[in-house]
Amino acid sequence: MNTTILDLIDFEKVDSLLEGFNKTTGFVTAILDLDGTILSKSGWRSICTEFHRINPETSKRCTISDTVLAGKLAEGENYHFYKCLNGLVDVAVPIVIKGEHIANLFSGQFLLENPDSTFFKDQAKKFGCNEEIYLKALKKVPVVSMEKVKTAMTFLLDMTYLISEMTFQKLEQLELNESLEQRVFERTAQLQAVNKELETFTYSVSHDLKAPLRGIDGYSKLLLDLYGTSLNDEAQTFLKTIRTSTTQMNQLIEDLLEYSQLERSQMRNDKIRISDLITSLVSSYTDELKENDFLLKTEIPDIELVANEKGLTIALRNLMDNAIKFTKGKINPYIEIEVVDQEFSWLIRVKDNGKGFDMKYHQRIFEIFQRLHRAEDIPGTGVGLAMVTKAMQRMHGKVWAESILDIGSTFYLEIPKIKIL
Amino acid sequence: MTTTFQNTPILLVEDNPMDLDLTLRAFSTQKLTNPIQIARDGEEALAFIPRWEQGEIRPVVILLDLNLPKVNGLEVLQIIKSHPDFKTIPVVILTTSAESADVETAYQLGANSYIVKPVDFEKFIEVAKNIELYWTILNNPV
Repeated sequence: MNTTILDLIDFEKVDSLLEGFNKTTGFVTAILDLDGTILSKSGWRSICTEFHRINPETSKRCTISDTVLAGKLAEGENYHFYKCLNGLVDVAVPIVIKGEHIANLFSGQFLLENPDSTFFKDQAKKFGCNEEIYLKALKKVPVVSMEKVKTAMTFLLDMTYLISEMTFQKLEQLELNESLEQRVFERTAQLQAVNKELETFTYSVSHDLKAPLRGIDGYSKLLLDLYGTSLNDEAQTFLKTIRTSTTQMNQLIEDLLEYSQLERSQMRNDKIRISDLITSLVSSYTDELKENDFLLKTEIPDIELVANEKGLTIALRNLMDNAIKFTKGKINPYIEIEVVDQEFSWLIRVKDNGKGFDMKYHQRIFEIFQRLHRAEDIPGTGVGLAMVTKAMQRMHGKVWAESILDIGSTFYLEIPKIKIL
Repeated sequence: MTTTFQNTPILLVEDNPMDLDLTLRAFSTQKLTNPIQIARDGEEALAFIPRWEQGEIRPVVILLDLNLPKVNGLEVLQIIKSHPDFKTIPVVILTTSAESADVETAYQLGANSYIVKPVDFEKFIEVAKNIELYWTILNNPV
């Protein structure tokens, strides 16, 4: 754990700050972990770098000083002065991150009073150093006042707080990211489970709800066919009503299945020759349009669209169904389909001169199960425009309408040319 | 050629009693001459395999529902379609599910046709008529 927290310390920033501190104040600095490994240093004295830390014996003393002596921070103390085993004065400030003491920030390699030259001469002899050069190095060790040291230590103390804070924030961010990833993973699994459930549900709807419906319709029809003659007119009407209801219920199930399939299925991008698609769609309405004296106008450029063919067909079919349904019975009924090739999108317009609707219901008509007419006046399941909305949503497109009551409606489908993956 | 298969049975695999009755009635309105054998679940359908192996006459077509108790329709399909001798028997899936996943799996496993049972009984009769016409008269099996 210690190593991971240590890894999070931004040494690049810390080093440059400590180097600046060393240059302006002359105080050397170091950061060592609790095992004595040097993590950062600035401006060390030659007596340390060329003698004490080189000779194996004195170097061992350095490590003991750095770990054992430095660790003896008394209660209530923010930093800790001690004389190192090689005769210099050091100060250690503990770096605590998330309540854990993980390293020490040092200053030191100075003296608080003039050096005892006999001690250092003895030391040079004992460890076989060149006395002259060794004492020259000793001369470079500054003798500083306690007051000056304390000012420097206040700065270094703040520095350790800053390091702690920076690292703590980094650690928190890391933990947050980790928990976020975990949460995303869990949510995805949940979503997948719900999706699976939904699939099972739709499967049941398609299979188990339709079977009894087929029974009701089948036996009503058999009753009419085989025993119709022994039933009076009212009984026959009842049976016909039963059959109409099953047809409605069946249509509702079909629409819901198509809606849920739109939601679940992959929306592949197909290249669609739009004139072909609309021609073949319109041709399936030929009889109905003729019967009701419709005038159909189409204005379609010979272009290719990139969209999901199935989704677009469902959307157009529903708009066409509606246009016929709400315009049928008007004088000179007409439907106009126009495709416009715009800079960033394709726009498809389906216009009629039918019943129209009050624009205050604009949002409502695109919601599932919302209807503006009674079922006995104009049949419908309330799923059609919701299906159009869903199809357009899945294609990252848009649907909207403009309408004037009793004058007519225009429905717009807009498909973006740039595809979002 | 057209009369050769008139007495070959059609195997109908259907668990729902109403659907079974309606299917039989739909066929009877067409005055079908082919006898209809019935299996009420996947296990009963598979029980025909040893009978065919013993030399009993094979059906001209198998009409197979998907959602069946015990062994489901897709499993029945897989077993028949991986049988060295009986994989050539045409299997028509006749089911309520129009789920694209079912359709795809069925064809992957070697179904010869996939028909969604209409709810409207008139249309159902129409479907029965077409099945009969196609599989017992027009189609030329192995």
